Amino acid sequence: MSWIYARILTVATVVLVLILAALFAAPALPWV
Amino acid sequence: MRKTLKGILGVLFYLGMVLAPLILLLATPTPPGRGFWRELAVALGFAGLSLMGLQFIPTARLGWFEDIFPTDTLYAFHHWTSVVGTLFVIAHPVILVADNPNVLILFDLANAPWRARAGIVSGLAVVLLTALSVWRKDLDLDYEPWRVGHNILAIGATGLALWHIFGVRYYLALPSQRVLWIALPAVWVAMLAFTKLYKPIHMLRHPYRVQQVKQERGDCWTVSLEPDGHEGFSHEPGQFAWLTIDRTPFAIREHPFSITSSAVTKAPLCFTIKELGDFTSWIGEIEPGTRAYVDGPHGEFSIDEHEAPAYVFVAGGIGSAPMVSMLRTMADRGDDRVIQMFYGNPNWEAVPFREELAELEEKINLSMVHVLEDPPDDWEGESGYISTECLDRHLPDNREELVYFVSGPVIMIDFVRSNLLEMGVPRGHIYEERYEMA
Repeated sequence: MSWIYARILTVATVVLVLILAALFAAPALPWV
Repeated sequence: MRKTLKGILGVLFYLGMVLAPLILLLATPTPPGRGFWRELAVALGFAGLSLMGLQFIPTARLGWFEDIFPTDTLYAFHHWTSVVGTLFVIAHPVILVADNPNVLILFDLANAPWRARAGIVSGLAVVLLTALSVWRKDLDLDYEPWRVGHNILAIGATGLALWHIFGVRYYLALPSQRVLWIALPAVWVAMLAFTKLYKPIHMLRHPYRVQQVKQERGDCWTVSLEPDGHEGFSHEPGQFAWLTIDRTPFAIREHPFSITSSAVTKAPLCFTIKELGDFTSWIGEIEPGTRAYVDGPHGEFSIDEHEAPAYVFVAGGIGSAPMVSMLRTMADRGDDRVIQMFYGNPNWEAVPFREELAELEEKINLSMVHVLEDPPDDWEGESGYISTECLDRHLPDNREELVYFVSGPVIMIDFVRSNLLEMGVPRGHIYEERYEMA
């Protein structure tokens, strides 16, 4: 069962990192 | 409930460690004129480093984390998040170059500034580190030299990456940013010191001596250890420990093995190990009196962790080791719960613990189902593999209510799990012990 949680946490890490990185970089977009 | 709280705290700690650099970046006023892709590359670089540095934690074998996730899951998590971290690390220079090809000038190692050299070598070390781990078996690398290289590359890559970010000083000018990038590595170094210094020193102060080495069926040997000058430790039946024999505990030459002795007594502490042609090939030559060190107990593959009125054990070969510890413990405790054990082996002569299991059938409420790949001519039992049909023939009607422990080669575990799921056993009732942590 714990494997499922560990996999969810890994996917969540990827998603959160990409969201936060994009949010950080977004103000540099010309239309923002 | 306590475990749930620990789990939530553990996940929050983990996310905090990984995401803190990004959250701090978001809270920092950004200078004008920066490009989206450059900023994204920088953010991914920071995230990659925080994720890679964090890898010193799941492998530190901290009891606190092992209470949340079993050790094999922690190691699997270490593998997955390392691959993710490596992809972020790779994305950092790739996006920078794609955004501005002039950056390529920094890849000229002969003329590039040291901060760039450190970053490039660190990135290459990370890629090599992950590639060697993912493809260790395909590359036929022995565990011990691989592990030494793994440690050197991990420490080197992390140190060089820190040199790179402090050298570049991009988003590291504010005191809060500097504090964060000193605090994070401080946690990593603390973990490293715990694993490489504190634990070996603790083991050095609690040595063991080999009392006996006994040959078992199926090319296995049981090594019995006596604590030397201390009481030893208590363990739960089915747990494992990392074993170092005839080496200093500072040498990176320890291996995980299931404890086969009963949990009722602390000593002798027994491990049954199969000769596989690698470092295990000299197990039979170990002399009594040889010094040994034990880091344990670890794991939660135990009837004490998963209470149930009845259990089903499914083992392949020496994967029976944790089950034997559980059965011996049940016999010592007078535990009369029903156990059905499916035990797969190549042939009848190679069934480890064969005689003792027959004796245990008399002592406790155990019924054995031996499954042989190559049975003798007069064999009337099961043959082949532990298939759905085989399980179906022996399991009671209330099979969905039972708790299953499965241990053995990974291919067997996967096969048995899919068979059990097919038969309607809930996923949460199946516990697995995978030996392939590295």
